[in-house]
Amino acid sequence: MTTYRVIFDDPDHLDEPTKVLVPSQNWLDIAMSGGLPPIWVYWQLQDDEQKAIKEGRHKEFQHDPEKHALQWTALRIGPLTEEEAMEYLVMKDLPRRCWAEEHNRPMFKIVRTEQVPSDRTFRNAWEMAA
Amino acid sequence: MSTLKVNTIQEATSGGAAYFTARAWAEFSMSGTAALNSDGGLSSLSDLGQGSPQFNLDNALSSASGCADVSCGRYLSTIDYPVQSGARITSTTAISGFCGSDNTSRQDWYVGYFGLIR
Repeated sequence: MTTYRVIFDDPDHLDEPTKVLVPSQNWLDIAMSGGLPPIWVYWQLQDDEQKAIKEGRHKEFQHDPEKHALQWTALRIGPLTEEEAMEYLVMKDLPRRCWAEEHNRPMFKIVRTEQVPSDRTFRNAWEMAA
Repeated sequence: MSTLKVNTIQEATSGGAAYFTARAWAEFSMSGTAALNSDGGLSSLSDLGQGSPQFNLDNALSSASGCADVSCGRYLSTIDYPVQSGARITSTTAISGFCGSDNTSRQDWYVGYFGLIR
């Protein structure tokens, strides 16, 4: 069972609490056994969907069938280490503005589970430590 | 292990009605450090804040549509309540869950269930 988590802030919504990404163990197992397509397969789909959202046509949006099928048909990238899989997951599931744009502080950190607070009394006040 | 690949599954004996299957499911916890206790079809869960899980699919849907559901398995560690909840398909890769209580505030459940049928 993985002990990694990703804590992140959305640079467009810094007033919101810090978020925590929990990886799926099933997905990590697939990543570490070499079952993932190149990351650009997902980025291509994300770009197309973001464009549809910006143009106000998300409701009727359908992915291009050829690009969509690449999720299963693209040549697999080979086995990743757990750390590489976590980096892949950051680039897949975090908003791209968190990791692809420059900010005056890191917008995400890969941490161990025990570094994430377990007391949720003030969950909506969580902030990423410097 | 072999994989069965088909476009549709139909009832064999009475009329041939199509079956629709779960694209993703999870048993999750928002108590303490958020956790995916078990899941299928997901790459991760994002804990966005109190009572606000987001389920990230391992592969994108062809369109942002389907039937998503979040329900409470156990409200607190020793207490079962019937409580409010909701879910919304926000994109082809993400479903927002809304974990509630007996009012409109969001609460962290001890155990919750998520499903996406399409």
